Amino acid sequence: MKAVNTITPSVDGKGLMMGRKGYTDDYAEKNSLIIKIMRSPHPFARIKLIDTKRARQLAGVELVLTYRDFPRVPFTRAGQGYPEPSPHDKFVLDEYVRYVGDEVCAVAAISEEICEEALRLVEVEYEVLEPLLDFETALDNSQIIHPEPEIHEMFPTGFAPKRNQAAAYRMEVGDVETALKGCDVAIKETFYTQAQAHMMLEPHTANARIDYQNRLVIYSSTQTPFHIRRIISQALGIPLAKIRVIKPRVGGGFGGKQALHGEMFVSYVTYKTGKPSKIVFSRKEVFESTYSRHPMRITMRMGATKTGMIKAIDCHILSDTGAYGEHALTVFMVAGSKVLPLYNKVAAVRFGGEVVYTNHTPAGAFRGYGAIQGNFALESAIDILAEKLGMDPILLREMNMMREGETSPIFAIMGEGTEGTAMIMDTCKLDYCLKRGKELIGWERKYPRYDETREKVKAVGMAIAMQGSGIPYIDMGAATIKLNDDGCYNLMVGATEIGQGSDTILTQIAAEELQTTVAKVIVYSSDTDLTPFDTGAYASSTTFVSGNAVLNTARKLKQAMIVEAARILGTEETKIGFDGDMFRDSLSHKEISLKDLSNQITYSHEQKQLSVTASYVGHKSPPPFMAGFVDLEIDKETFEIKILDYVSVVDCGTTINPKLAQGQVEGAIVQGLGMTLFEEVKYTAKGKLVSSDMLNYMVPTRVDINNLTTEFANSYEESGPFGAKSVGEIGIDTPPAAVGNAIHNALGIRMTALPFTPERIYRQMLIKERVEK
Amino acid sequence: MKVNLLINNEWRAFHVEAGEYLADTLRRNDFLSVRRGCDTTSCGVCTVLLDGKPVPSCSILTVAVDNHEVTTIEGIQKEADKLSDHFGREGADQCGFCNPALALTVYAMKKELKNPSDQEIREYLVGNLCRCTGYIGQEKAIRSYLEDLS
Amino acid sequence: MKVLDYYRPTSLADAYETLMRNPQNQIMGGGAWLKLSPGEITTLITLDGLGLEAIAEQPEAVLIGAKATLRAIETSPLIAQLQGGLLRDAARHVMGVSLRNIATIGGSIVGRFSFSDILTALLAMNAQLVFHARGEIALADYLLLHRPEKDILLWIKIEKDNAHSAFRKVARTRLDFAILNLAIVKTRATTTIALGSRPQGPVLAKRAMAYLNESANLTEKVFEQAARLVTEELAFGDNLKAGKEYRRHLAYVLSKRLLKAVNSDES
Ligand SMILES: Cc1cc2nc3c(=O)[nH]c(=O)nc-3n(C[C@H](O)[C@H](O)[C@H](O)COP(=O)(O)OP(=O)(O)OC[C@H]3O[C@@H](n4cnc5c(N)ncnc54)[C@H](O)[C@@H]3O)c2cc1C
Repeated sequence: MKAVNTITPSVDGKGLMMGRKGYTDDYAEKNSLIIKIMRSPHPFARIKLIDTKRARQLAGVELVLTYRDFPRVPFTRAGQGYPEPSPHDKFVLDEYVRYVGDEVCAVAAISEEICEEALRLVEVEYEVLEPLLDFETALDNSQIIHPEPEIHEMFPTGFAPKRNQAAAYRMEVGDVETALKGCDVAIKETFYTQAQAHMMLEPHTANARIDYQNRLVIYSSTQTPFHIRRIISQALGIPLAKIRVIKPRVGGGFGGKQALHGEMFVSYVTYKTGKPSKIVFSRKEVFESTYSRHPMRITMRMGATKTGMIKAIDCHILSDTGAYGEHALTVFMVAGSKVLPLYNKVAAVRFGGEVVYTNHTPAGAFRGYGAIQGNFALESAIDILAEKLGMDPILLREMNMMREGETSPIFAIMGEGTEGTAMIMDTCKLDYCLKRGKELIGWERKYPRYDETREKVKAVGMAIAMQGSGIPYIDMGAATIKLNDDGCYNLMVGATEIGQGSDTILTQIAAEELQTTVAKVIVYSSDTDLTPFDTGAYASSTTFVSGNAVLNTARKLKQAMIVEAARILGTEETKIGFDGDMFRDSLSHKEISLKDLSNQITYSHEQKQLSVTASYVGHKSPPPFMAGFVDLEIDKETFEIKILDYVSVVDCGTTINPKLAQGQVEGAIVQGLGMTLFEEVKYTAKGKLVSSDMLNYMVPTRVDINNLTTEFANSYEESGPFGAKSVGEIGIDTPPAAVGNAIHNALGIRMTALPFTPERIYRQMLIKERVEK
Repeated sequence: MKVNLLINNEWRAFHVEAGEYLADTLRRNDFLSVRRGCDTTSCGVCTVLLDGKPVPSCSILTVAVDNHEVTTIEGIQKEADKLSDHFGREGADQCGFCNPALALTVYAMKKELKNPSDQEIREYLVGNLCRCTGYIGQEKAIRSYLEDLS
Repeated sequence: MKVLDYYRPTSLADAYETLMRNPQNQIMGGGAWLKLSPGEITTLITLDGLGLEAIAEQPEAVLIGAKATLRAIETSPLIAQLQGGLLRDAARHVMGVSLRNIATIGGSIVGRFSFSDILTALLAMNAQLVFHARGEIALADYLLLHRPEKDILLWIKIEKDNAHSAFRKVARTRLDFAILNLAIVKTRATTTIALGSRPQGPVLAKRAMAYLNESANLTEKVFEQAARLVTEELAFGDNLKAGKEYRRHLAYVLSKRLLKAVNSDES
């Protein structure tokens, strides 16, 4: 291998650092109408009256839109494949507003100032309704958040809006109650996770214009350009053929740009007025009015024999989807399906729960996608069990965890909203990851705690995790490669580069198969007119699904080139060897260079364009695995935590680009550490999000992260492109449990609610002291 | 109001309202590498150099810097080119949205601090948030850039 | 913040006159906080070109111009020497270098931010303020004024006591506001303790100070008692960053630790 699994700078990093134009707003027309949205000050209300007359009369105002301007077509903004597992429970604008920050009306005007002035002139009278803010009391509450008759699910997902239930699911393998009864040791604990914000640095933005063919052209900072095209067409009744969506460079996504946010408004305004328009979300809107991670309450029960064989796991989840049900079912299911198979030797396992509506900012896709929540509960529970058994927590894991060549019945039962896909773990180097992580962190020396002084103590903790690689039979990626004169190639992919490096690794995959260099493959991605389809950048699908599509395409193009070479050299295809530069007839030793061949078929003889499109849809979703170890120091009086090191040993198959893979893991670790330690989400008693700016929502800074140690296991997944599995999400899963376990090892307390702020640890310590007295 | 700025070694005159911020003046005049990320002076994305020092252009009124020198990434292309080689080797680019701002701050740091320790580097750059990389890759790249005398 | 007009006065008198002409007129320091404030300013008055950026040494004191940026303060050798470098230590904890390149000490004082790290340090250092109209006033007294009249802060005067000092800020991340900040200055004769971001603004812990200044031997027991007094005499409250109980606990722990620190490096 020379193009993959070698250190290759990203294809775009230099240009972006040098400041070249590239992001969505850089492409907005200078004379764009500016769109601003009036947002609800109430968590739940009906718009009794909305008078836009004065606003419409203001000079410079082009349009003032209310729910009356839109056809009553419910849809979901989730940005998933079709039919979506998310309920169609949202209207572009509605008579009801369901959270503080929900859309009331939209203004398009020639400047931001005029927009703001116009919004001040819109008179709204609300019938304020009693909000439902506690997700633990939402189910079957007398207050119903979605009473409207038009909303529906696309297939059975447990959607029961009259119960405030956006989705529900349960499954059981074996008989959990009986298995638990037969256990020597059993534990039960309830965990809470918070609504983490993605906080990508580029706020959501989109802009639109009508081109000279009278088509709507949208630039959007999105992870799902093809879904956007479909959803806009369906919700606004614009023919799909009239819409082009271009995703230029995206300044971070993490799942936060899988859904549609401003796209509906720019599309409507531009389509209606014929004038270009744009919307740029303020940071407050990003926090308050896009979406965040699903908060969950997870109850774990687990039982084992005296010798430490885990016999039963029972997991019940209550998930808060907020005002709308985007990703409600699937995030919640992943909290089981990409977590529970880790311990596959159980006699019985049960998973179930409900996803409820509340009057909070909606939840949606976010890196980890349920797995981080489930992992926190499961991997904390394992340590609790180990303590009760008096066993080393790593040994307990080694005895019970998934091994290569094994499977779990859960794979076949649970998919994302549907049935799953049975699969054997052809690659699973968890055992290596554990062993190596233990060495790197110095576990033998440091576990459970070390270097204790009067004021401080250091400790280690760990957790293991798995994720997936795309959604089998659902996620599809496609690529086109065409051969240019002079022997270079264009690679067109639907896959969505959002900063994770997909353009680079897909280029590497193409270059590897075509035996050329990255410099000779020109990549262009995510333009619904020019590139083939791809479901988008989510579900850890790009390397595996889109990567396989690129590999298939490159293989086919190579074959097509060989056909041409055989014709030119007057021999049979099977006799032709190709080394990336030269085609050689193994019998006659006649040869022609790729350069000459491409020039000949372009300009001089039997001219033709060689271009191949191929696609890939997964039949399995080989999980990446990892072990995460944290080494931390706690101040025993202030309870401030300093992360000394975080060791990750990851099995993601071949790393197509080792440094970019490391960047994925480390970025995810730090985002996970943010959720674990700092990222507090606070609402007022009246349901207003107050951690809605960067002065109050704190993410890790570079001073808060001292060191990260990241290694990869030697692993080759046959079904992946050049042996690769996914690596985008796996890194985020372990920090909550690993840090929680380390805090326990340091102080003897068990943190069950995220984030673990010093203040919360302090309170927990007070409780402990009281109990000990 | 009329304002003269020496931007990237070229005097430019702009007509601005008294209340306009430098980030907006620059963006409006096609310095698209200057971006906004937060609205609360918290993220570092809008950093430019004012008389050689890193400042948040989102919080500086354009009229207040009349007759001063402003440097955007376009003004230090050679250094950005070099720094990006180190970022490339460490795979530390990721989404790139904040990289011009980070590069400007790194450049200013290089001029201001002699042989900074790891801790000093972190402190100097702490105002440049990154949600993608986890920072460590960036730091390795920056360290090797500082040590690169080529 | 909406700014309608911007004015560069030719003299302090001109600046003051412009300031007083309209209640909506305001002085600009670095403008960083003004940007985040709501409302409208008719004329924003800059103090550029009036020599107020200076940090100057006098025989008994250091004079800091109101326009000196936090970064200038942090990197000034004079400030590094001043009362054990306390003001430098406090300035370093404010955001990143780019914000400190614009935020001024004048804005930090007149803004009277309850979370301010700068004010807590200045209070412990017994800083004196020199205003254009009001003349000289101790920072401690200035902070007690309910709504000080509009004026222009010119200089901050800090005595060159031969002191030991310690500063501590507790915050969720390096870029956050303080959950609590604490500054202690110890001269041969007296100990001064200031706490801020309780979340109320900085105050002196006078009872604890009196107790320490009367104690003959400064033992660990005495520090503990002083720390207890700090938590008893001062009010603590809740905000988004943390609750009252935890703040009170921090006040105890940090008072104890900082007292130990300023007394141990005296030897
Ligand atoms: C995002 C952010 C985070 C911050 N975090 C911290 C922190 O953690 N710790 C901390 O201590 N501080 C913090 N600060 C505050 C910062 O240190 C400054 O105190 C603040 O920015 C005010 O300084 P300025 O020069 O920007 O003042 P300006 O915004 O210009 O002015 C503030 C006020 O002071 C008045 N004023 C300014 N100068 C004078 C003068 N000479 N005479 C009379 N009136 C005057 C103005 O009219 C205005 O009312 C933060 C500020 C920001 C923006």
